[in-house]
Amino acid sequence: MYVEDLKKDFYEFLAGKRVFLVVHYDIDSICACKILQSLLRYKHVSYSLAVVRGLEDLKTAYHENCADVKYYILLNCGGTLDVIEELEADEDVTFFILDSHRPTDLCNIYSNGQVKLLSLPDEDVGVPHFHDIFREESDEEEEDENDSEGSGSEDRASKRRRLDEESIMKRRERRLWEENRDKLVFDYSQFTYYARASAIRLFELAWQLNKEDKDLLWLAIVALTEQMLFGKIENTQYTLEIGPLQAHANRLQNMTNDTDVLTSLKIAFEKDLRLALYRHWSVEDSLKYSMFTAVKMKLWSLRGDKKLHELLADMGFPLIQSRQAFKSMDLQLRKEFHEVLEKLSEKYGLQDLVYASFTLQYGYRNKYCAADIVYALLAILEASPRDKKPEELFNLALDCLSRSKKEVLDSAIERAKIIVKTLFKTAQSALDLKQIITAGPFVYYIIQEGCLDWYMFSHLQILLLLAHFILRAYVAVSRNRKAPSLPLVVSAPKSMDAGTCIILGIPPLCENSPKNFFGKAFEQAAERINCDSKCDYFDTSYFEIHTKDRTRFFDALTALLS
Amino acid sequence: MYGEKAYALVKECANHENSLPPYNASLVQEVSNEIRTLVEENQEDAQTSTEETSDSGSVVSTIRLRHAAVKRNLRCLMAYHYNRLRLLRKMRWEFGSILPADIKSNLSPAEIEWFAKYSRSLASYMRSVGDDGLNLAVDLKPPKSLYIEVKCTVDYGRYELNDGTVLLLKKDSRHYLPRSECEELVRQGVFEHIL
Amino acid sequence: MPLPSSYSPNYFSIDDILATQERTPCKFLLNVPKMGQLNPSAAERDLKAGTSLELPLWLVIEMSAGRQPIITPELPKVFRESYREILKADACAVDLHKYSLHFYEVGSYVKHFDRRGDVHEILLHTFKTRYRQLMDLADNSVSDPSVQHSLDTLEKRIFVASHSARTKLNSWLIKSGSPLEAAELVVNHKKRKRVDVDDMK
Repeated sequence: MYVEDLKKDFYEFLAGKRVFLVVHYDIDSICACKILQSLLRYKHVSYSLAVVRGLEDLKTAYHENCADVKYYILLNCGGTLDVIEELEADEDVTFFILDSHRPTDLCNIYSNGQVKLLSLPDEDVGVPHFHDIFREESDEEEEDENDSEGSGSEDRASKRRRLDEESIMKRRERRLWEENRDKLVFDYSQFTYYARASAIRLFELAWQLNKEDKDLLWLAIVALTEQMLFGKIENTQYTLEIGPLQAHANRLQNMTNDTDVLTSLKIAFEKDLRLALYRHWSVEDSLKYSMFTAVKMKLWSLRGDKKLHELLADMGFPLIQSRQAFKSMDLQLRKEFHEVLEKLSEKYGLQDLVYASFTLQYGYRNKYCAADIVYALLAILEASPRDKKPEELFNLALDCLSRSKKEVLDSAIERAKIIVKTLFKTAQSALDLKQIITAGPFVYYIIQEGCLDWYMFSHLQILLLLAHFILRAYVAVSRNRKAPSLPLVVSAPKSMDAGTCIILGIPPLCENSPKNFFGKAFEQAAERINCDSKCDYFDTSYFEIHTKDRTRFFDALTALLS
Repeated sequence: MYGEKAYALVKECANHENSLPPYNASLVQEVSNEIRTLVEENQEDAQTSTEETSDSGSVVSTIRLRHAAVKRNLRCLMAYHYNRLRLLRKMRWEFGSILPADIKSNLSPAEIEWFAKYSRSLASYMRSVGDDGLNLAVDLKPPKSLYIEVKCTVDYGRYELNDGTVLLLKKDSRHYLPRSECEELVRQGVFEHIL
Repeated sequence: MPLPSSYSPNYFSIDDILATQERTPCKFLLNVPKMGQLNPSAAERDLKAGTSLELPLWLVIEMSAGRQPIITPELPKVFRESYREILKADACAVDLHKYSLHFYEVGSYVKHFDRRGDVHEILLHTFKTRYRQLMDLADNSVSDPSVQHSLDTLEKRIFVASHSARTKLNSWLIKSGSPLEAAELVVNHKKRKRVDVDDMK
């Protein structure tokens, strides 16, 4: 059931109640959570907050608290499952779900009020009609009862004949209906994809309530940028979403109040380059390790390296300057950097290098673009030392977003550079050692357990970035004409002790759409070989199996997809 | 040298400015023994040789020296106990009326009794202020808002709020609660206030 | 609830007790019977007049006072002429911690042993010169523990107090709101516990 009026049926409804926030462990959720927190504060709604990484966590969080709290807000989790059934929820518990994972489970959509979806109905595409999916079972039973009661002795025989005919018809009809239903459900749930970021939806609520400010807007921007950087949404969708946010940014800029003047907080809509972290790195490093430039110029090869230096020479950037930290580069060069690179982009095949984004400026020294923050958050969430618990990291990530904790952000950016470098190097070695293998209908790449950085790749988002990098790199060098139409499956070890690995599939490049059919495919392949699998993730394009089953699993997947 | 043991006792206090070491009963006993011996010796000397002045000088000097040592020892003993009590009083305000077990085991029986009595008088005083009492241990700083966000730093278990709702306090979980409910837990280090 | 540890010497003051334990050389004017044990270098029963000994201040003060002093005290080494010259030259450069843990307290006791008032003067001079440097450190030190090594106990207390006052002022100026904090003793107790746990491993 969708909540139509967020203000009345969600926000004002919660006033004075105790709420439990369940937040998924990803960047959009953190931004959304921060917006929601500030909204709940205005109403003095007391809440508790828990972080979940998968279904198991969600179940524990629910069962630990279900006796005490009756209202749950699920951010980016639970929407794709029948929460009532999965959690065995009591009837007096209400779930508010805001989940950017798609497809939304039909039971949640057609729930009679216990599950309330906060997203817009038109974000769910192709939802089957209620009567095609659910059927009033009670009618039939009633009829059966009537029959047995009213059966006299004299016309029992004739009635039975009629009944037989009737029931055969009914059964046939039922079978047809069931077939139709299965088909509809399959069509509906065939692809996994992402809808608009939850943070944007909550920012709109804040706007509706007149409680929006620049900080909240920035959170929405970061969430949107994350979706774009990680290839979770199409470029057109990004462009569509960015328009309203730009309008908000302009409006809020004109509404400056005293504290903004003091801290000179400013969100600017700017063209930005698809170069990772260049403001906090050196030009050469950023050009070399960013996925966009690396793939376009094949920078992993010797020739690519030469080409990079050629580009720098063309730009008029001396090597000494381009190896310098961006901040300490000559002022002239720093100013020209954007322009020069944009001008040369065509010559070096770097079209689309420029994209529209936002920058945040506060104080006189701090300037971050939205992508910087996304990388920093990624570094905190997924590349922290192993002994940190997810809750701690989640708290750290929340700190990182508050402007007063600059040192957290800066150290995270340093770690993000390592991630970007590692992604590049892993892709490079995968190509050099020809580890990207064609298996007919798809290509796959396996990160071996002995690999130095395997632990980094046991995290979902980093693995996703690696998959994008490798697929693009593969397509760039492959002589196979079919390469752009092949999807990629990557596998990384998950846990050495348990001997499990994660499987992630991403759609082929040519489709130019993040809609992902691997969720269903993985499920069926696992069924075929009858292996012990676990699907704890809310994003079903991730799958977890035992490492020993992996070869058989890939065989089954090949058979299934060809 | 006289007074060395008493000095060790005071040194113990000085080395633990913000924590209570175990009550050193044996050393206290030794110091009081030293005092007793000194007093007895002085009495003896004072009685036996009041008039006679021996060739080696007056015993008055000896008595004066011993007396100085007695005074010194007494002072150290008093300071040891006084400073422990002061720390204990501070603990009442910071830990609340129930002390952690490992601290309690460091106290002498007399100190435990003192703590209980102090708690009781404090409680009865707080009850007597105003119409229905005033909890002096909360709102030590002027509140800025009625609700605050806190992070739980230990696995505390279930905790019941004044209005009867129950919370599960797990390590690293975040909560947004009425300030008055949190303040004591923050002081006790269960919560961390997040601005 | 302010429960400050009062510094000014009172009967219970721990710092004062520690300071009066410091020794100073002195000479016996009278015989003291039965106290031979105080002089470890001699095995006699009585303490003879004319013996020189290093005695703790608390004893020296008692015995040198009154109508008939039993001993005459001398100045401890660090308050004698040669050391005073060093302090006069540049008090800031001196590692006072090495001179004496309780330089100023001991000084204020032994200044009575010196009739000319030189000790009195040098105490004032030293404190005044070093105070400026001390405040500078407290306001600007970036929690560097090494700066505290050359301070005596009194200076250390002033340093800690003014440093924490400065930090509090700064955080108030920036945030203009003070967060609730865990009580000092609780924090300490936890730290100690952690150490205990670590030891057990």
